[in-house]
Amino acid sequence: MTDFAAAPVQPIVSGLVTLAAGVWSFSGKGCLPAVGHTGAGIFLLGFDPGLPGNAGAVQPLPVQVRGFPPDPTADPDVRSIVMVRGPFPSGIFNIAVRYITSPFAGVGAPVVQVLFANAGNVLTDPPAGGFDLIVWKGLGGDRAGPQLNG
Amino acid sequence: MADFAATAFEPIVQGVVTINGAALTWEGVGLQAIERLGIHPAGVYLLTLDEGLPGNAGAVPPGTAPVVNPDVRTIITCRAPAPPLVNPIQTIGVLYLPLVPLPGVGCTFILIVMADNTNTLNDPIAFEVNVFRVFNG
Repeated sequence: MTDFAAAPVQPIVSGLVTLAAGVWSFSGKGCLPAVGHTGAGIFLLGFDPGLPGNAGAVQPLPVQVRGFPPDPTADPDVRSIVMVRGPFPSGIFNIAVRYITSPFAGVGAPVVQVLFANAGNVLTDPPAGGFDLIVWKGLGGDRAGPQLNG
Repeated sequence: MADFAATAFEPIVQGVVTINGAALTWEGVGLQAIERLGIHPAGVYLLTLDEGLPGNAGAVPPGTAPVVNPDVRTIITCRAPAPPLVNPIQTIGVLYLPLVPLPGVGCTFILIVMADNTNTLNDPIAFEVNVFRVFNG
């Protein structure tokens, strides 16, 4: 097994977003229970500020070091998995995530936005079963830095 | 807790590919390079595994056949533009390529292919890549 196998991983969110009585809510760890449903297919989840050792935010993007534009979608260390639950067919063909930064310097992204679209690429809600959400931070050891060969 | 919880897990790649027009930017660990294939202007990305990682041979270990290597896993999650824009990607596939045909070397490249709702090769604005190896005993 390689040394790379020792790369640490920091879990941030593990839970489920479901619809009950017309209200979407989060159950699990790492997010606040209230889910912002700001439009069809758009879900805003606030990271839990109360978790021990968790600042409730994805760490700020060190733009000045890595040369990325100030774009929260480019935060290099955050990873998410989103999986739709039934009933099926879900009608969901498209899932993507955004990490939305705080207006306060140094806070990072306290909110993750999960977006779903249908076969026509129109933003659409998943079924009432909702979706699994896992978010973690990959702490990759030595950083290769931006590499461009394309 | 089941014995299954002790299954070993070897990270190979983790990072983010950011796409700005024709340019691809890689930020993470485990790759030596990322490039487009010349005949495909969008939606096709060739990842070269990093030979330089300590203890990492820069190749996915050989399987019974390159494309069915049983121990390699990849997770890809697209990042979204701000609504009302929509991430266009609906299908994602991966292929582990032994472009260096040396016996026992395995796959030194990973090809990622993405398409939109018309099955046309297309780019997201960025995507997360996780490649890891499991050991099935």
